[in-house]
Parts: sequence; C-alpha cells; structure tokens
Amino acid sequence: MERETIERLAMDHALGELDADTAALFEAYLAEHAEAQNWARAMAQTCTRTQEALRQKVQSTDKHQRREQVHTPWLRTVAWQTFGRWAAVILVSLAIGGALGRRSRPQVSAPETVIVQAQSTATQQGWRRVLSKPERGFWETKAVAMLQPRANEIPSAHPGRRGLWDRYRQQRKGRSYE
Amino acid sequence: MAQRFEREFRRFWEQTRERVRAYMFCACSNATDADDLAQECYLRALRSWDCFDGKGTRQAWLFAIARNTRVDWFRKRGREARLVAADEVTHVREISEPVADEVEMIWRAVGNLGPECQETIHLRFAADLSYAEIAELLGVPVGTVRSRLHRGLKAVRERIEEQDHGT
Repeated sequence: MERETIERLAMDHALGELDADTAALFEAYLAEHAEAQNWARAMAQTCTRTQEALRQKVQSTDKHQRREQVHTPWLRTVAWQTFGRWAAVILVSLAIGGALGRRSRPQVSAPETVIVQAQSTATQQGWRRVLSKPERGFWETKAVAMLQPRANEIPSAHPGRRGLWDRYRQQRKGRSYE
Repeated sequence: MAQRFEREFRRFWEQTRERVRAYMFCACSNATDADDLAQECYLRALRSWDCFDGKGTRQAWLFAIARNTRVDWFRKRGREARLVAADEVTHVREISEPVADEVEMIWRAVGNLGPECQETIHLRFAADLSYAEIAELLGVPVGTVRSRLHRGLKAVRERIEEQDHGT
C-alpha cells in the first residue's frame, strides 16, 4: 500500500473510525511491514498530540483568563479612558483657576461707618456709630440693614392703581437703599 | 411537562457543554467569548428545540447550531477574527515549558490551515464528532471529511517533525 493510504487508515484507526474487521486486517498488515508501521505510528501520534494540544490549550487558557477575571474584575469594568479624560479636565480647570486667582488682587474697601438711629427708648442716644464694616458679621449686617430707613414710596404712574412697573421701580429703589 | 423538558434539556446541556465550549474556543481563542458563544448557541437550541426533525442525532443538530453561531460571530467581528488567530500567543503556562511550546506550535499549525481543514479538525478534536456527523453537518461526503482531516494532520505532522528536528 502507498504511504498516503497507510496514513489515512492509521488516522481512521487512531480516531476509532475503522470497524473491527478492518482494524484487525490493518494491524496484521502493519505487523508485516515495518516501514508502514513507522508511517502509521507517526500519523497516530500526530492525531493524539493534536487532540491533546487542543484540549490543553482550551483548559489552560480558560484557567488563566478566568483567574485574571477573578482577581481584577473592577479593573476591567472601570472606563479608564473616560476617567482619565475627566481627571485631566478637572486638573486643567484647577490650574487655570489657581493662576487667575493668584493674579487678581482682592478689592479692599475702606472701612465704612454706618450710622443708624437707635430704636431703643432706654438709651435715647440718637445717632451713633454702631460698627465699622470689617467688624460686622453676617447677622449684624442684616440687623443693621433692617434698622435702616425704608425707601420712600414711589408715586404710582397711574393714580389709584399700582402696576407691575411701579412695583419694579419700588423694589429697585429699596435695593439701592440697602 | 415543563419540568420534564427542563430536565431533558439540562441533561443534554451537561453532556455537550464542554465540547461546545471547546469548539467555540477554537474559533475565538478567548474564554470569555467562548462562553458567550456557547451561551448563544444553547439559547438558539432552546428556542428551536421542537424544530429538530429527528434526522441525524440531536448532538449533530446542536453542532449545526453551534457552527451557525460561529459563522455569525465571524461576520460580526469581520476578518480580524479569522479561524483561530494564528499569531495569537495566549498563555499556556499552566503546564511545563516544553509541553506548552508544543501546544502553542500545534495550535499555530492548526491556525495556519485553510478554513475547511481547520473547521474539520475542530469538529473532530474539539467537538469530538464522528466522520459521519461532520459530513452531515458540513454537507459533504464522508470521504471529503477524511481527506480534509488527513491534509490538516499531515501539515501538523510536518510542523511537529520540523520542531523535533530543530531541537
């Protein structure tokens, strides 16, 4: 028999595709032909090694990749590119803000004296200095503002009726007083 | 009735899952993708469970679905996902170095075969199908399956011999 025929039969035999009678005949033939036996052995080994290699490849890669997933699942889930981009944007914004902040100087206004009329009847001191501006806290500022005289009422554009424009003007005036 | 079907399907899944996964793995060389493909395959099988006409074996029918799933995956991934990325060296360091080298070498040798030979080898060695089942699945005569297998194994053997002579 030719080498190719021997190899094909050896392959079928190794893969269990030969029926019992044919397998017995083939083995008997190989027992008598040493060269054919070598060809058949090489092919049978190729079958076994290929099968084993595919099996090991699947199993080992499987193990390796699964271990990677078990150890670092969160590393895979984080979108690092997006995270990095946003981090860069925030850092650049902080740098620009810091640079601009260092250049601009705070506006220091001269201490202002606020005169209010005391409402207490007990003191009856009339006009008096209360607090200079840098000395005042938030609530003190509010309290002082409440003690200020209110803005005079603006006369209505249409007598007898107070429209939206009149109310707006009154509010502006009130704010300017504050 | 539903429980009986569930039991039957579960048994079928347990019998075939490893081979389906191995067959899928041969296509994508990646455990995660192989899992996804196997899952997709079983979902399709579940949906069309009643469509099995009784011709051939249930196993061959399942692998026909698996093959279609693989083909769809190739279409989606395009040419980058050629049958077994031949250039890809994945980690086979669970086993000793010489064995790992041989595994890689054979894996590459199979990856360098033509698609027909490759698929036949995958169906025979990873899916563990018989010649007749492969022939039915691929729609070719048994002789063609034998020829493709022989051609593929011959190429692999040449690579093995080259390596053996080299070392």
